[in-house]
Amino acid sequence: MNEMTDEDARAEIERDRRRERRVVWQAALALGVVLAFVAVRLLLVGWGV
Amino acid sequence: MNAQSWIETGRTVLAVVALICALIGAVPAVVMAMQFLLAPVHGFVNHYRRAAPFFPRVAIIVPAWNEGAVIGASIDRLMALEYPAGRLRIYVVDDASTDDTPEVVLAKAQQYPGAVHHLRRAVGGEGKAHTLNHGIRHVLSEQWMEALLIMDADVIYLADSLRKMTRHLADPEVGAVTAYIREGSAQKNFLSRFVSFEYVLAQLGSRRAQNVLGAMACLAGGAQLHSRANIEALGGHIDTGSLAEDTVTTFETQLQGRRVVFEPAAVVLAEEPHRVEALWKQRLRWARGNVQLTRRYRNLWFRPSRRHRLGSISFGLTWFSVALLPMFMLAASIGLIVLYEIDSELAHVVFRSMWIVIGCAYIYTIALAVQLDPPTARAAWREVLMFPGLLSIMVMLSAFFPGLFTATVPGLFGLHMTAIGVDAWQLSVYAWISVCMIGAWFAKRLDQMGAPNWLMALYVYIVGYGPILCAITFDAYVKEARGAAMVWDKTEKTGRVLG
Repeated sequence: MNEMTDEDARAEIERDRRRERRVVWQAALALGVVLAFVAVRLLLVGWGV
Repeated sequence: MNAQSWIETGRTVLAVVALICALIGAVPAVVMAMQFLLAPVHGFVNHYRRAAPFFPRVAIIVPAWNEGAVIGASIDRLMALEYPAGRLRIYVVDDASTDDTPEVVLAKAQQYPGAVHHLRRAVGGEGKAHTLNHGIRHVLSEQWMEALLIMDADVIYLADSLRKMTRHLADPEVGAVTAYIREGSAQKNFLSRFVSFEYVLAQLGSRRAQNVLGAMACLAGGAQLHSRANIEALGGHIDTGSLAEDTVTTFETQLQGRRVVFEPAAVVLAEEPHRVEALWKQRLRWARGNVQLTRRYRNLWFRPSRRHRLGSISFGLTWFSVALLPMFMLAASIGLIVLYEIDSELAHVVFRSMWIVIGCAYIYTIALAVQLDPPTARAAWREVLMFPGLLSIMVMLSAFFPGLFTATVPGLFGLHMTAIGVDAWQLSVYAWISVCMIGAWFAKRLDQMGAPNWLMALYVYIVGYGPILCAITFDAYVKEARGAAMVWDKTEKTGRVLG
């Protein structure tokens, strides 16, 4: 058990809220991986299906 | 019209139907990708702005049946949660245990006077919902409780998890909050690692998206925090008429206009099945529950409402992309095979287009998921790569790189595939999209036959973990159609969860 002040709790909420923004950059990186894979495909096979 | 024209028209109609069926196969992957595209939006559309420091008096209900080996440690960990002193009470609802559960709990009640309570059901075995209701009736009969936490006896709440959940209840519009259940077995095997990565996908990815959409599919059974007002509005009890009581609670909360929030920063460790047979039993119960709820809420789907978001198109797609997954796969296989017989070149184009889309969705989903929980992804890197199975990955590669397995690979060995061989390969690829479910079913048989762990792992890496989940859903259709008895089997645990 511990006693957490309101100030500490508010700071923790703010920290977690900011941490969520990281997912935006993670998603951008994931899209980059997809683009790289598509680029390899285009290089080897071209546009056609 | 002469006979030839009729035949031509018939072929065209059949080809269109087959084309539609084939394209339907891409729906689940596209919906999954849609959810993962929404996940980053959670960085801006979330509930943190309305969260505030809030420490209600929490009654923790722990249903227990023969949990003597783990319940003592669970109580100690709960009492060590970072939460204000005197604002936690633990109610262990003993479902007529035959082991030393009562003695262990009573000893803990003496160790933590006033904070630990032992509630005993004289007759047990009716299922978890009945056990929970016994405890809920008791805590509602007192005025002390302001929030109710429902959990399992063997899960471990990280020290800060409860307070990270309660802060959302500061918003009176929120009825319930759930946490991230992370697979936490001390000794993992291939299957528990597959489950751990599945939870990253289903929770850290999908539930973030559901937060954004404002419609939650399910509160985790081992981590659901309710406000007192919510549990009272639900009638003061949990549904006992289906195998998916957690989902019913989630739906009813939202249907009454209250929000359900997923808190990704609140982490709860749980031990998940290490054997395919145990996984099958657990997931069959969940899948049958979902089939039952799909029927029960038949007037809800795709009917938008101002009161809740469960009737939205996006939530309907999310729900049915899982509930109908085996149907989508069957449709894709049958559609492609029929199309191949009518027009093989068109079938190739449709297959490649569809699987390039599926492949891109899959790569994006996996690439994002591994970043959402890096320790889990690192520990399960083989399972991350083999999630759909080696054979399904080959299907994907054959779409991305035409001729890879019919010309390039045989060519490396100086071989040449004949036209019949190419035909057979192509039809096998189309068939595998749904036949993988039979392969997955055989994994259960193999486990029942006592296959060693290394063989099971090899087999599941080849067939895939995704197809196992799909086959279980198909089994749920069959069991529900046959009206098989509803049995609430307790998933066997060893009690070895990392603290």
